[in-house]
Amino acid sequence: MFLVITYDVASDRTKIFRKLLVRYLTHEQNSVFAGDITESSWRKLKADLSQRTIPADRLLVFKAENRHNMTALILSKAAGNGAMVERSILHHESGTLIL
Amino acid sequence: MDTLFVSKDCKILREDSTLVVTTGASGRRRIPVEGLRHVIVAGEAQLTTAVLGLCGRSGVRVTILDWHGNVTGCFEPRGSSSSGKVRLLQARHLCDPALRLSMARAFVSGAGANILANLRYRLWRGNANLAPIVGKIEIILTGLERAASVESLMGMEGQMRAFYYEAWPLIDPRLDFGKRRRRPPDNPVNCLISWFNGLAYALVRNEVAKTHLDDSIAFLHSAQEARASLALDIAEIFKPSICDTLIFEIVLRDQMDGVWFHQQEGVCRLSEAGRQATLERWVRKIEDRGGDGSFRDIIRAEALAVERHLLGIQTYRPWRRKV
Repeated sequence: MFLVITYDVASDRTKIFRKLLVRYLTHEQNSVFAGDITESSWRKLKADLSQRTIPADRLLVFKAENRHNMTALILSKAAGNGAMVERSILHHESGTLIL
Repeated sequence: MDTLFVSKDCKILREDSTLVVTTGASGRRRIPVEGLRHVIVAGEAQLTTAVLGLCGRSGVRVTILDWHGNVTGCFEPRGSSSSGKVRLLQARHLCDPALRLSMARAFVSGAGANILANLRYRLWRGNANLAPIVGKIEIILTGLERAASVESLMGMEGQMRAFYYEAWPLIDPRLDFGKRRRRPPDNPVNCLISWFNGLAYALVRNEVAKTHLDDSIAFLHSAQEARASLALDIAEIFKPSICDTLIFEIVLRDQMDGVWFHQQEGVCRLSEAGRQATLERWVRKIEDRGGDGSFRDIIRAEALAVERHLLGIQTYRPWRRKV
């Protein structure tokens, strides 16, 4: 399944969530993690999160059953001509990252 | 994500129980290790033992490619899925000459059929020069039934491939690469063939590892060659349909860029830009889902079909490209 998790927590606690979520999902933006994981990994992740969260923490999860049913895009502005460019994110589309 | 390709020169470290890849002065990318299955290192990378330990514990295979795309080594994680029963059946099929011959024949006929499919497609598109070579390959293909030994099968496979490579200049003059040179490749097309073949082998090996098959017990590529590998056997079937069609696309659509290659003293290597560009095409090719799934799914299904044959559940029929 495809997941997007975002968190909004006290600034001294962001480290806790970042260190946990980098193991499972890609760190797309500050406090935003996304990626494809299996059902069992999701359960592990939920269990790990449950150990670490406190009532004041806010966590949001968006789930899709299948990553092929959604499109992930990066919108960026090219310097100069002012047109916005849409790029698809290869590692979400195909599950492969090329560095 | 399942797969990570590293084509830049970089340092791979372990941090916060996950992988971090540092490329150049500024690029720092954290890679989630849960769900990662395969890391393919094609550039110059510095790894630490902490990284290998993490990969070993998390079930991540690390494959190292050399400058030309040949797989030079693999780091296998602990606890590969294997089954004593399947391994024994594989060994039995290898030690019994008749059984071994039938398996080897299946692989060669699959490879031959897919080679032919590539040429027949071009013939159908109107390239009539290919007809004589198609005829010659068809004759060898029907002759496979009568082959008496694995060595003669390998000879026939070599002949089919030789005719096939002779046909490339007839498909288009830009595909003329002269003689096939592997170590090292001397021109761009030779370089691309080695590169994609290496990637195909790494992919097939990854998919075979998901079954109970033992990669070191191979039927066609036997102990005569330096490496006995079932992944090499199975990869023969898919190379024409994945690697060669990709090369045709790149060359015939004029997508090849001079900046992709470093040519020096008769040795042609892919540059970093070349590796990135070709890897992107490779990933789209193998992960794009068609009717039967992506090529990755098809290869895994093929490996499972081989396992089912060994277990006596269903006769193995090699995959064929539909033309």
